[in-house]
Amino acid sequence: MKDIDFDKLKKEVEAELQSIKTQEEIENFRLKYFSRKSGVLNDILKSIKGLSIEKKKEYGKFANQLKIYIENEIEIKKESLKMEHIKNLEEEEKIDITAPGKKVFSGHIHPLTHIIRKSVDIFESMGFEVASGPEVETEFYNFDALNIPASHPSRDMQDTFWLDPKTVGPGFLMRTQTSSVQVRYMEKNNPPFRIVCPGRVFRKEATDATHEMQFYQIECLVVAKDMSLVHLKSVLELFFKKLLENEKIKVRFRPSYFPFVEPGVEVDVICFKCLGKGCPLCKKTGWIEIGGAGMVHPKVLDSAKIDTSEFKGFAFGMGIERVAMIKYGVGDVRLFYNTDMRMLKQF
Amino acid sequence: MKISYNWLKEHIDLKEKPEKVADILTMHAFEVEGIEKFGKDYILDVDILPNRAHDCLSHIGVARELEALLKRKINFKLPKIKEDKKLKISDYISVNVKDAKLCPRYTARVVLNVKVGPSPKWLKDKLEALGQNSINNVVDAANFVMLLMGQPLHAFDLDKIENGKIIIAKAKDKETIKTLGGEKYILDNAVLTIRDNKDALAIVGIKGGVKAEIDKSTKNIILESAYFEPKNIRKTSKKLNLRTESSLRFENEVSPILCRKSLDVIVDVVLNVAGGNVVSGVIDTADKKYEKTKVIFSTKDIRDIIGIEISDKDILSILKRLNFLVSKSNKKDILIAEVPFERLDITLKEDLADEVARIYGYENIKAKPIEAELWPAERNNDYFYSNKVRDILVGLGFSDAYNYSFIGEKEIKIFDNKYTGLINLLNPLSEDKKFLRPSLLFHLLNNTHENLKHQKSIRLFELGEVFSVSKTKDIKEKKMLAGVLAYKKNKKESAESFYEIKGILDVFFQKLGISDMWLNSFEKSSIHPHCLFWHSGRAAKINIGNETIGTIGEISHLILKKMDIDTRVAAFEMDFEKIIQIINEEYDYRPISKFPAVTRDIAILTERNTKIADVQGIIEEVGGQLLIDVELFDIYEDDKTNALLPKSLAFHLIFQSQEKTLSDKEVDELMKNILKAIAENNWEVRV
Repeated sequence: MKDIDFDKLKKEVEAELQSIKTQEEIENFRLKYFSRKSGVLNDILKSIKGLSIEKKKEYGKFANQLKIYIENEIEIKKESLKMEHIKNLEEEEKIDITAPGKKVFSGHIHPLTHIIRKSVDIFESMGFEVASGPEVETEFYNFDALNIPASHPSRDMQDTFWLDPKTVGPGFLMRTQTSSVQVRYMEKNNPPFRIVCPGRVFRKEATDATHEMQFYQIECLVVAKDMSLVHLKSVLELFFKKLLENEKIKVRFRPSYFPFVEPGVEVDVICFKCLGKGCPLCKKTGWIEIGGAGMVHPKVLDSAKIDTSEFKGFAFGMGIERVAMIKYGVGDVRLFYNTDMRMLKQF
Repeated sequence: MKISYNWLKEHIDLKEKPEKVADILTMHAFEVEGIEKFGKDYILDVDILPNRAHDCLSHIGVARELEALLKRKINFKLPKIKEDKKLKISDYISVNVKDAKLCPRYTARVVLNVKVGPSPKWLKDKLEALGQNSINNVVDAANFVMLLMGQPLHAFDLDKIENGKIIIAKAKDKETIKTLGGEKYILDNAVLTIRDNKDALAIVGIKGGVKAEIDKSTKNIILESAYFEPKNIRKTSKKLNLRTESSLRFENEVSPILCRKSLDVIVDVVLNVAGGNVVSGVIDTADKKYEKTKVIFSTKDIRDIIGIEISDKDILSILKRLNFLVSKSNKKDILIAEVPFERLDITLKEDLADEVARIYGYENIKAKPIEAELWPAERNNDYFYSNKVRDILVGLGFSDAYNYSFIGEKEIKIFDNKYTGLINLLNPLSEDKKFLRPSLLFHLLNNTHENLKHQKSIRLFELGEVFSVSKTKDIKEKKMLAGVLAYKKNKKESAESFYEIKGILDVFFQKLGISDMWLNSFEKSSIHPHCLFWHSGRAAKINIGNETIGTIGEISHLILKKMDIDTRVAAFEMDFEKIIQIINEEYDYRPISKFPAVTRDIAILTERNTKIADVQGIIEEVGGQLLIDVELFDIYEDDKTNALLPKSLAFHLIFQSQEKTLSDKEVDELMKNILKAIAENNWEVRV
């Protein structure tokens, strides 16, 4: 038998591998070398049977090395072809990512819910408990207990929807303020406490772009020892800084009158658009009127049987719609109650 | 109230420009809502709130505020009236107050030989600047003094009063009075009047009548300045729907001391503008010493309320500028403040603190953090779960609606006025907001109608209060959660929307940790008016355990037609308060089995009206614990219009054990039992 030139053989194998482009060609290549019937390597192994022991050892070693080499190369080639295939496939499958996304049903939170949540979250983070009460109230909780006696002109500050006494009996109304919740809470709980009451209230007012017959108020109340106006101011400054997301927010008080507080103040926040310089949003005043506040009137604490010699309280209330209008630039308060998807979808 | 800048200047030396004055008032007393130039004058629109209406609906009142704020004394002295000693008032008039409760003080003077005519220019100008019409010099004088002092006054023609006898008494029932300006009012016997022996001359504190009107021929006049009980004025003014500058002031209460002082002021002005001689003597039905209100306080009280370190000296200086007389008591540090007679709003130390704080200036009150124990807020479940259900429904594609709490005639008509238990407002704003909403569905359906004009599909929910009244007049206010689902185009008979919203509720309850929601058929015959909303073949009661919490279904064709909705609407409405009582935040977790599951399919022929839940229930019952899931994957009905034909239900039955791999033999045994049970119910199994 003639000598086998393993170097040449290896070179042939390398050249063949180079030219392989498909999985099929790989299989053919494998069969060419490893087929039991006609594989090149099998032939070699068969042909060396009759050789001397040294030659057998030598050729056997070379043949085995070549076999391992080819097997490895086949695996490598297979893997690289697979990768190439996937690469090509993904290239072919390329899409236009700028085409619109598939429509899914998406729900939207109402803008008023956003403001209520945000406000309540801030108060809760300061340890205020959420309190709630009914929307249909009695004259007592809405007025009398809040130092707004019957036949007193201060009742005119809030035009009231009364329920027909023929239908429900006398003295029922749609609450005009969430302060009614204060009294209900104070009756059942002992100070000290901090509460926040968000809720729907009603006023018999002709509606226009800035007035609604129903709206939301959020009110906070603190009753504890040694409370005073400076603490009220501190709570409000913290609150508005967080609500309006601006650490530069300032709060100012102006004298005012609400029967259930004394002293009573109007609360203005510095215009968050111009920070006090004056702009169209604040009508060039630099300030935005935002709510009412004050020290809880001793008569109100009395009617809730809280010892005024030991405890003092302060309260603050504001309208949610007004904040939502300013914050989102909604021009007409009535839009909040229209349930128009074209509006809701934007929140 | 409109306040003239120039008029203020007559009583206080103002160097400040009108804008500055407005600013000072806004920051320390009352909000000035606007400034208008009027000729050479500036008119300030001052928002006097009810607690100061008794003293500051007047130029003197506002000037007095500036006096305290600018530390400048006001210039105002009560006039000395020169009386004609020869003439005695008792020879001209007598006053008989029949109801001293409603008219605690009545003062009057008589002036003879006045010359009624047009007012002088200065008086006309003043009234005109403040938007008042000039009538004649005597009437104008009364208006002028009211705007100056805050005390409403009235002038009568003495010669038109029967025998000069003035009676203050209730009107006769159905008595009419023609008031100045010509309107007629029908009075009842609760209305207090000023009258002579025959007729009503004026509605007390509100408006004068024409009978004793001052006119060109008037010579002798009675000038009245009184104190009327405020609640009664308010009641009468509301009843007659007659509000005047006079009633506005009286209903806010004017100090009983002020009327006597103002009487001399008007006499002085009348003499100035119309001449005449003043008869000696004054009618005064309550000429006594009026005690001033005293407030006991300490300067520490004031500091404690405001929370700042303001010195005793500053506190006392502010009170002095506001005309309080502060004196020491026999107790250490306890002071007594004597309140100026016109300040009816001051009775408590808190009121004094308010005075000090605003004059001192709120801008000087700096924030100071609360020092308090840290305690976490208790969770309010109503609020907490309101947020949670909102988030779940938004996640399921529903949007958060806020509708009006009221419905109107239009909505009630949809139900042919059959809706019972409605609560109506006594004083609705409009016809469309006359009743409290008894259900959230009215507006959600309106919303559906409106939004379908521009949306392809509707998914809305609302969480809000509804109201009803029982026959025993008990008001029920409940928080409800309702939702609607609709597509602009849908197949005519398809119940897909129903099953879609049912599937949505399954997920909804699962997310709230409620696993035992089930539906049962809904009896439309139920007397509850709410039932009329629902499609009688496609609605169900929603139950959790033993509790019925609401209704799910399609809206009745009748309602849809009446509400002009041209597609099917699936909806639910549930009692939110019941839901939050049932919510279980503990989720039931079962370990995932390590052993393989075996699935067998089964098709069952049943009668058309057989309930799927019943079939499924029987399979589950017989299958026992090893049957972990029964999943309906096909319903086939041959001819939907023929109710006699059977329907075919196909289920996947999934068996699995926690302990071992189930053998075919074990599953065969279970299937045999199931097939037996099906046969016992006269259903047919298709293989």
